[in-house]
Amino acid sequence: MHPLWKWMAVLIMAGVIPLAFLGEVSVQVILHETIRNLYWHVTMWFSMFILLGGAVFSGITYLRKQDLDWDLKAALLTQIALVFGLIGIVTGMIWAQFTWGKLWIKDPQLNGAAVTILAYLAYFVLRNSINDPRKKAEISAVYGIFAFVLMVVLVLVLPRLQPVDSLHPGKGGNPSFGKYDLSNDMRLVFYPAILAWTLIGWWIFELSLRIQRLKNTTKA
Amino acid sequence: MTYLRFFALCCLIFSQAPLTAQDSTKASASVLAQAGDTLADLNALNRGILEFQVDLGDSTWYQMSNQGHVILAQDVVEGDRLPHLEIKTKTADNEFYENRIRVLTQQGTLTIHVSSDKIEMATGLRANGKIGVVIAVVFVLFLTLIGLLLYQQQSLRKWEKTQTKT
Amino acid sequence: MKQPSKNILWEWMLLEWKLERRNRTTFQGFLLYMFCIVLVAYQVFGSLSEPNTWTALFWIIMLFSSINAASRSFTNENQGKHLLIHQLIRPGTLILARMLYQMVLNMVLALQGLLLFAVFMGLPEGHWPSFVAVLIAGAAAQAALMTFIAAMAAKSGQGMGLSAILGLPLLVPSLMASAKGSVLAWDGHVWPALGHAGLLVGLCSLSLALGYVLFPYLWTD
Repeated sequence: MHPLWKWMAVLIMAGVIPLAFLGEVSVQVILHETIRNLYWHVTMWFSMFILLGGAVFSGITYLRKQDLDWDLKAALLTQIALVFGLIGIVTGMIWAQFTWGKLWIKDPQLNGAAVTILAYLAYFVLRNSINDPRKKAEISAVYGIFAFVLMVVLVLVLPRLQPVDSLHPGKGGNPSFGKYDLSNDMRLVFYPAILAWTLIGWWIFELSLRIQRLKNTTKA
Repeated sequence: MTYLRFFALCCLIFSQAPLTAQDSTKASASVLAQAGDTLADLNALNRGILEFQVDLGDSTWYQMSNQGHVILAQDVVEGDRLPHLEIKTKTADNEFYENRIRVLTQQGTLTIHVSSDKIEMATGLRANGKIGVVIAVVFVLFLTLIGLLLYQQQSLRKWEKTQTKT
Repeated sequence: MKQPSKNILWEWMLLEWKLERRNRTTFQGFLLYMFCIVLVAYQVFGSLSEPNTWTALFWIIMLFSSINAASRSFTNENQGKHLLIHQLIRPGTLILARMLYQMVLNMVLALQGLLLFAVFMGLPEGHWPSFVAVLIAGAAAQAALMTFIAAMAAKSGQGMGLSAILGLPLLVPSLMASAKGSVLAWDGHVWPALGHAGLLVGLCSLSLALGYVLFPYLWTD
């Protein structure tokens, strides 16, 4: 009845939820139990980047094929990725409150996240400011590609290059994920959780795409 | 409808907040110290530290003296990387405290941030079974989200059928 | 089909300069704009020697000057002129020429800013040649990015307001690298500062490449 991957996402999450609370976690200084937030907060960001990758792919395909359906896909994927990013920021803030004692601190990763959100809010400002659908599609596809590349530089490259005092793993003097942050038990929950969230994001995307297509046909 | 789905997603994520709440006794301080300075503030911060362990490769317990302990700059600075030291401490009340000391070098000066947390893992929550409630709540939220998605999918299917007929 | 050659690129940059000379007020306008902001900042801050504050103030002023300078590079084109340009030059070459021209202009603006800061606020103690390297690279990166963003904003028909909204988040990576590199230069860390200048050059060439690839899609009408 439903495609297999939807049930797969549900099944994975059904396993992830109890394991996220009950499973073994590596004991870390400062983090302690809050390390379980990894399964919620970090997965949001990973899923966001995967979905944004999909949006960039749709944007490129639009520019090649000039088919407005691909523009719709790019816009919807960006929208869902933005929601994931916002949830990622809020869960990160909750985490920061319990570990670093403040909701927001001066950290390159955090500021990168804030700027990413701003850049994608600007994407929607751009979209709303143009009426001609072709023009809108063209410019927002170009902007989407441009912004994605710069955001990858900002969030994934810059914080690693600078010897600044970041509290996120892998940067500054902090040990990276690979070193001893994640035990194997945790990986077994973490990676499937990323997959499941991405699939759920994709599900939401598929439904909103169908709704939008129907709306477009009824309008026409 | 769309916003409702997103709201459910948000609820699901936020529901983990109660678990992250720790009843911790927090204290933190920033000390500007020269290389080789004593860390007397560690004592002042955590009244009654008896022994501590510094993560410098060995795992010996040092006795905490009244004067604090000397950490030499060459012990902690590896090249131009900013080292990240972890200090475990035992106190008089036999409770474990964990302290983290971050050492930043700026032209020979060490900035040492000391923060201390009383460790309180959520073992109690897990032992008396209350964790089950948390998991159940998260499950209900997650199933609500999936239910909403399925409901939407069904109604979409009907809508699409009427669309193809006309 | 016109091939992109170094000559066309160079000639087009010269042409841009000639057009700018003909309409003298614009270029002098940018210089004056920067002069005014520095003067206003001087009224508020007085003389500055603390490197962090100095750098922050300097790059914020540079940011607004370069947004102001770059956002007009695509605005005054009516339909006829657009058509003429379309026949004369390939879009990829056009954006490269405009970006390069804007980069040179922004470097001039940056050096003017440095001069003004030196006169009014004073310079912090430090290794200034490496600061100049970071400054040049940062100005180039900002100009290349802003030119492309201005092209998008102009294409959407919304003009300058939109280019600031689109530009500010996207300029943050280059701004962060410039500010960090400048502070390192003032602290006397020459090689890390030059490393940041290199990063900025990389960012600049990244946006040149992206502009060259993506601009033709914007330009088709």
